[in-house]
Amino acid sequence: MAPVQNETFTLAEPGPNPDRQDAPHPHEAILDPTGEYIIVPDLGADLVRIFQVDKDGLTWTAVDPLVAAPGSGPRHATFLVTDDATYMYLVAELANTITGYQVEYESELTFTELFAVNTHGEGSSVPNGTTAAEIALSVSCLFFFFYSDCRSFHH
Amino acid sequence: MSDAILSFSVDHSSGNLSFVQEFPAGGRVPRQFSINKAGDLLAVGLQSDGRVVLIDRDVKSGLLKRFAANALVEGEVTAVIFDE
Repeated sequence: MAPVQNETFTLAEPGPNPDRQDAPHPHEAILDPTGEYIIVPDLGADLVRIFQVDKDGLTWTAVDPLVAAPGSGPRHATFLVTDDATYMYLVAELANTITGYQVEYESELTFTELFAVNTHGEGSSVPNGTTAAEIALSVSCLFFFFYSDCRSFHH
Repeated sequence: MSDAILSFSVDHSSGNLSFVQEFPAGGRVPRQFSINKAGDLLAVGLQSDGRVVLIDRDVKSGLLKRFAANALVEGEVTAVIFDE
């Protein structure tokens, strides 16, 4: 196994939450359902960075990122493909939100925001110190986690 | 002391989410989790407790029902996957 390509992200200035957003913090890298794009939620930069996989299948080219709400801290995402549409659900750790997007593939990958709910559901409040973490999709349900106290935990 | 797992159901025609349940994660700092192929078990990796728990899940309703098993794992658990 040998590395083919790597990229270092930079941030011109800290985000709205300077303790956690002092630098880019890409939290995971996943493929979209077509396998043509690499999706990288970046908690420090409030971006979901997007890279188109090149024809050789090993290298990538950056395309326009999806801009997340300032200070939200995107952490993990998951896709749902139905007969009619493709959706992406993004968990933001600092804002404790799940944002749902419709995903379209035309000449480029586009995201249309459908809704944003807080991690405890519509109309409820999120306990202090909570940080939303993982998200996974089973056939009909969507799961995610939160931590009730993140003060002793830094990642 | 336990942190929580929250689940939402997904409307496949619209992509909308509806809050379903809050269930204890079985310990502290549920770092990552996995669902088995059948959808009837949720495995949770508890980073601060050095433990993995398995939770029974009702596939029809999507509800988590009860803790089925747990195991201690040395160190900070950061991932748990099913070998199927």
